[in-house]
Amino acid sequence: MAYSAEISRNNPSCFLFVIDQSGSMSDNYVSVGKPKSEALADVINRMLQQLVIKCAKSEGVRDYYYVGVIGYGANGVGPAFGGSLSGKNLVPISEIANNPARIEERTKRVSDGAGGLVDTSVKFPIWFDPTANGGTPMTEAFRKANTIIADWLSSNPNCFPPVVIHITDGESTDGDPTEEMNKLTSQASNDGNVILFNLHTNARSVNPISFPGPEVQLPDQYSEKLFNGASLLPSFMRNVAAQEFGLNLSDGAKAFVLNGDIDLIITAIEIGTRPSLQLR
Amino acid sequence: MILKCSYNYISIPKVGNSVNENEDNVLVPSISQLESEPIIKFAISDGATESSFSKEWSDLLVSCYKDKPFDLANLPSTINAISEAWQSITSVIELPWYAQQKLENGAFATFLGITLNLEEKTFEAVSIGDCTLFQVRDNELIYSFPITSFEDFGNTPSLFATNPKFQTNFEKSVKYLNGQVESGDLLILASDALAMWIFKRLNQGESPWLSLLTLLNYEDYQTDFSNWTSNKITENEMKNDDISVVLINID
Repeated sequence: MAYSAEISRNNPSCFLFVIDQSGSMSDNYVSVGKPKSEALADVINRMLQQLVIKCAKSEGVRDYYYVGVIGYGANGVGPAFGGSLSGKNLVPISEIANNPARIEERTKRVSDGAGGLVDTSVKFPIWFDPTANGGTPMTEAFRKANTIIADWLSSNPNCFPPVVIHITDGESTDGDPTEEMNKLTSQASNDGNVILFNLHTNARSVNPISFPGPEVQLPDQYSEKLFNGASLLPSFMRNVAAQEFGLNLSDGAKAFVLNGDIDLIITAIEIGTRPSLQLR
Repeated sequence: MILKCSYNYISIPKVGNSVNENEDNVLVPSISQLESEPIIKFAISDGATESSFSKEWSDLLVSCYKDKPFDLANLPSTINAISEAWQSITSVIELPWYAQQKLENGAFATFLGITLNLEEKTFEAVSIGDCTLFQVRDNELIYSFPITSFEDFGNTPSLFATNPKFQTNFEKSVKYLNGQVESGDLLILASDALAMWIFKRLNQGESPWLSLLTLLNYEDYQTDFSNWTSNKITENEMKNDDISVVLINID
């Protein structure tokens, strides 16, 4: 049965984020008044933090996952971690835990236990900084993702299949990425095919479409390419969507979002990064 | 006439983990307690893998079952006191940022305790989650508690939490059972992976306790039991998890 492999230190899985860093990512999200690049960097950093905490045990962090963040924009395509992890493609989660580029103090509003709210200072580790410049070399980005995932699968043939989460706000400027996307989703471990999320984001949440089936009407050929390239959501992810987010998705639902605001992008990342089984 | 009892038990880590990573803990009486006291307590607790310091939490839960009340009226103050003991252990350890943040969520564990009254030939059991008690008489299962079939197991059992913010309502999640024992009865306390296997074999019309009784009577039972569970896991007969079992023979 696919997507049932144990995730353990002996049989880790991997997450790869592919992030559009083109010039248009500097536009502000209307809902949060922050550039898309900055809001997404916060989301990725928070997600890395949650993953580290999930894998933390009393003796340290267990390497259940290897994680990579690839950016594409003015500087071409490449690994996007900062600090001592810069230049690295996939990094074990313990190395991520111990090597944030820096740790910021941020203010968080929490309950005061008497019905009110108080501001408190929390540590917010940063691995990934926002960038927004230049074109959208999406095809090259998927080519890079294919190389990274092929290397990973050759060393981890029995792993719980890798999940690739691609976030973009635009159209490819280096040709049609369809072939590279298809190549990526046809890669597989013995436990199933790679799962590709194509998450299209928009500063204004105008006509958003989330996790549609084949009957969906899409506005243009670019969104059709992203829709066609995305994986079908496996049943365990549809279960997460139902249990955690109250989304009842059909069998044909795809790992695809169009015109999503930041909240919809966060929901999609949450659905994509919860394993079907308990960690071992 | 007062009944007597004897027991065997074992607790091993999931395959691939070291012995000190086993987050199950077991309470069994000492030999002198067995010989001199009519009221005997056993307990088993399975610490949740995704929380940290859950091994310490399950250890405190079974240890405190010895002398703290677990009835519904006293349970909130009992769990609160055990939680304070857990916090006093964890608060003195210097931790990196991620371990500190994880600690704020606290630790979680399932629990099953049984108090045998050998004079009155009765027992009281308390449970949260999916550790299971089986009562066997004349080679037949006469009762299982709180899980009654293979289908009852899920991925999100109820748990005792160190952090009251994450504690499920005791009235809904904690189960109690009063029962009677007879000479010749076998009581089995099993953590979830082994309990699931027992139900699977029962569904095939087998008497799975016979294998367990045989295995735990071997001289080198630690090695034999580990090898046996390893094989079951490889054959997909059992899930890879920490495994604990206590077999109590009533004489």
